Amino acid sequence: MTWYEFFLFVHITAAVIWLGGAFTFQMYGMVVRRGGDPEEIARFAGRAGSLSERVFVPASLLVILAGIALMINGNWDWDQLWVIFALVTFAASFLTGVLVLSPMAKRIPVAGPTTSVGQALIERLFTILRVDLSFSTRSSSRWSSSRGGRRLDDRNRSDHPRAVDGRVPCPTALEG
Amino acid sequence: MTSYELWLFLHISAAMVWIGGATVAQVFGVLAQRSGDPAQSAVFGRSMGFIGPKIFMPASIAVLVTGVLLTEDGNWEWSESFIWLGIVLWAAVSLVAFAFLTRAMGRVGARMAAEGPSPELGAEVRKLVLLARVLILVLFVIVFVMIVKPGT
Repeated sequence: MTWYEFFLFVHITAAVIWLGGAFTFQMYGMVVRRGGDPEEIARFAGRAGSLSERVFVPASLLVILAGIALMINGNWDWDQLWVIFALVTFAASFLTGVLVLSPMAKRIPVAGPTTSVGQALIERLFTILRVDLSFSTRSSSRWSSSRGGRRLDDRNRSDHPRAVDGRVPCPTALEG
Repeated sequence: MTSYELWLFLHISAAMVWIGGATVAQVFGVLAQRSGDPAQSAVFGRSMGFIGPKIFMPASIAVLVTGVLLTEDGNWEWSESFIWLGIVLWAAVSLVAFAFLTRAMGRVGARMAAEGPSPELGAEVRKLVLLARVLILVLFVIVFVMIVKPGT
């Protein structure tokens, strides 16, 4: 196993936990909200904070750190659109979490989670999370399409046994 | 965007939903268990009874279908070890998860809501959560095999 493969494994595993987890969190929230029990909804919203701090924030930091390690170890160019897009999306998502979602989640217990103000805050929290998730998924889409990008050691070489039109079809089934 | 890139995006997205979702579901399971409140375990069981067949199962099928398309479109050999190993492990996890685990989880959740807590139901939930952990571990092994591609 090379360092590149190791960083890739960490990068993908962390992205899986972050984005896949956030998606399921939304689905779980939908089921709970459909139940219509305000106390259960409030309890669920309360868990959003601890889940973010213990799972999503560490996973998102691992994504960016392993991504930087991949860029350096794989000799990728920093000025490619998919790299810039991913970094900007990450920064936007991170800042949204710290500056908007976290203060909003802290206002819920103060307002009272079962009150109309608290329920409105919970509703807004889920809406922002959905928008945030959709942008993060777009970042993942850009990343999937990154195979034709420039790598300084020119790994998209035309003499590769699987090369099609001068490009290697897939370095790995999960790798971009 | 080429068709290969499209399959790759769908393959990765579906894997994210399935594996990441199962991981976060584990966290919810642990939180519900730790609370000691049977109502919370019941909500967890009911939610998993919905999310399992409606979200995780379609995602796992999408992983397989797009994986097949990637293999065909990317000129990969079916005999390569990471491909057949991935398919075998996928089949094993899917069979246990969807034919047994999600149904059992929904059943226990419903019983807990109806009958209230009991040591017997608590032990059953713990067993199911442990089985889910093993399955998640196997899913991450699949991710590892897909990335490292032993034998290629």
